[in-house]
Amino acid sequence: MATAGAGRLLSDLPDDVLRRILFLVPGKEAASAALLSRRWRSLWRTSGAVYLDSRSFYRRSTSQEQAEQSLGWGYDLPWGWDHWESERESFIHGAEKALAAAAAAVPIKRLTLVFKFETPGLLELDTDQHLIGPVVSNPAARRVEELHVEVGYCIRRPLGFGSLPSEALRVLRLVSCRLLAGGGAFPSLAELHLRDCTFSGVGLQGIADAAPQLATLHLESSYLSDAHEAAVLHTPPVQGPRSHRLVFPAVTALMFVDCSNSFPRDDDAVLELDVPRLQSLKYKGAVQRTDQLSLKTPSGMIHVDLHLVEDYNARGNVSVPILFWQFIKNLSTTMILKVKLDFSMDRVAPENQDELVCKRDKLFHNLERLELDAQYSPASEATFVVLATLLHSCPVVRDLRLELSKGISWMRYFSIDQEARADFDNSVNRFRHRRSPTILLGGQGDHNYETFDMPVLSKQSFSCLQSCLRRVSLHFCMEPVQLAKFFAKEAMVLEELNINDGSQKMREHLNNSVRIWTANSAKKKDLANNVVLALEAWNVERGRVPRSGNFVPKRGTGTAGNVVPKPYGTCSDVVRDMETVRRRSRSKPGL
Amino acid sequence: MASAGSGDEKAAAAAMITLISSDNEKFEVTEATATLSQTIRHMIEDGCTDGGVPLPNVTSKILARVIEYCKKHATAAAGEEGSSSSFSDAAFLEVDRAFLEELEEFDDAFLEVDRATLFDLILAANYLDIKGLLNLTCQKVADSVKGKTPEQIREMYNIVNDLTPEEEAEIRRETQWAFE
Repeated sequence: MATAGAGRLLSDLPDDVLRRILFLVPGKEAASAALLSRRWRSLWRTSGAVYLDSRSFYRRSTSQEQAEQSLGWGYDLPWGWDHWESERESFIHGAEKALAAAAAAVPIKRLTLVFKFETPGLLELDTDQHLIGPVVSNPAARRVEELHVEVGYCIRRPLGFGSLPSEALRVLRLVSCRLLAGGGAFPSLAELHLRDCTFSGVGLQGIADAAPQLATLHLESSYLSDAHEAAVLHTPPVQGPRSHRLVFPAVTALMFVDCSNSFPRDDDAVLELDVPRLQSLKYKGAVQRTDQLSLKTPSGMIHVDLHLVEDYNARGNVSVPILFWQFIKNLSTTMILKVKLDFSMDRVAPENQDELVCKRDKLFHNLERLELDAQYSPASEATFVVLATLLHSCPVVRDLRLELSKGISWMRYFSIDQEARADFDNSVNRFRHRRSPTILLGGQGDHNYETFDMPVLSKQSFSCLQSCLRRVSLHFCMEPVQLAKFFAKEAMVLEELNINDGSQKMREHLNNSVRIWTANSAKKKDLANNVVLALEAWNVERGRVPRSGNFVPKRGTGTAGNVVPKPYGTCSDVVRDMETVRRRSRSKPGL
Repeated sequence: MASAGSGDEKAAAAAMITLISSDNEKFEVTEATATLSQTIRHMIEDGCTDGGVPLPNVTSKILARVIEYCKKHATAAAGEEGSSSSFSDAAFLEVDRAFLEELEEFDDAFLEVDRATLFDLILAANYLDIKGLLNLTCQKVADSVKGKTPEQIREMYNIVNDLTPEEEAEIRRETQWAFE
């Protein structure tokens, strides 16, 4: 390899990289790349991928430009219909040729269509037959495995499934489309992604029925539109609460993000999803609207990721705590649960904790890892009630990660650094002023801290703390010292306590303290030596809590757990963790 | 309780990976940073990273840039393994808008390099199998040819036209739709 920077050329890149670049260039310009040289010609002919963007097919005529300049831009341009027709025709015409040319040497496997026209005022037309249909049903696209259709300006264009290339299609991504029911079988379809789409219950169920391999279903900002349903079924409007039941027999990964908010304002509609093989769920929506989604899930779920927000406009005849606990009850068989609340966790505090604790004792009977990311109100007992209820609900939890921050969400974006600093300074001050070094070394002055105990937590007995909880991560917690102390004392088989609280300086204070707490906890004398305390420095430069997995016990350190507490960045992360969990559950059946 | 302290150090030491560039410079990175590279991830999984990972195809200058990228992206691993498309895996990402914006700014600034360095980065990203970096750098090249004629692209990237006039005419016929 030559010296870096010494005139490396584009032609030094290998073919597969050049093809990758070519695929990122819209079809028309990519075709002109064929004229560069022999190598580029063959690359273009053998890429197997086509990316067509309507914008690169249309050139406004001079007269149109002049008229536009004189009239200004708007919907009432005198040539409206003709303009749209010429845009449409030039695209379809170009797309046909582009597909034919691209398919000449190798079959097209990847097709990306982006429809962004200059005349948005005319896009409401029912133009499936005239626009998307002719392109996706082109014979040259018959063997497409990955299809991405994106319509600009959030205008949902109708797309009938009958026109899709169906045989080889494996991945279908649609943005801003209106799904129409249609025939066709999709024997290979494994992934369906809908964003900003509307669908009819009949239409979506139709695909699920026609796609026996459909394992991944992503619904984002998409909603079920009743108008279609009624039109297709010719049914009269139903009185009272209506429910749409959809069954996805093969789906293992479901993402339902920002869909609840876009439900029609007709608040009685309930969407019931029956997903008998579901393993992984990602849900994001308003906690007030969780009752609009009824999930029927199997007993072997692995990963659930909930991100709940507030919708102040939602009707409120059911209280938030009841909605919250009802919703997570549906997901009680999961092994990993991640809950993120964009509001204070006090909002979900059960109104009658004693009653709830009894009922929920075995709520998450499989849960091995719990992550909670929420805000809290200072000096509120409700926070500890929620924590206590969760701990009671998870009798076999091994990993616990708490990320609790003060205040409201928008503040987190701006002032997290300052908060970190302030929290940390408080903690250090407390250490400095509350405890003298001699007492610390002797370990006798521990009772000085009793005043800081959290009565809600310390008065109760938690079964998960007796034999299961091995790892605790406290990120930016409200009272890291209190919580650290609580877990160090009460968790009988604790192996690791990680605290990420702003500064390395905390380390020396806490290290000693945790040793004393664990040593003083007579019940677990033997285990005191095993506690590894890792304190992560707050990364001031980055200005956020490090989300990497570098506080994880590494290979060879002899810790028992294999589950890597890592944020779920990608599907493959989830899959990897699922494998880990599966592997472990096989090797330790008596867990 | 010395054991607690040493265990801590041991865990910290185990988390570091040493990368060795073609000109024999050593870089210490955390495992989380290093595993953005699928190539290195596989090496770690196979347990062959003791004594450092030699990267004979990557110079220290480029490796330093690559590590800079990985460090920044290690905390927001989404998109690295996903596709270049605007959704799918991206939605699995825990959305922290401020951080994502910061990340975009970082990426923009990161791409402010000369062409030769850009190609070196592409080669390194390809070799190390860092999908996010590969997509980012390839997109930069793709954007640079948009709206350009073949002649302009040839000039920009020093591409020698080895097509005979007959071949050129043939391609023009094949791709006539693109020039209408």
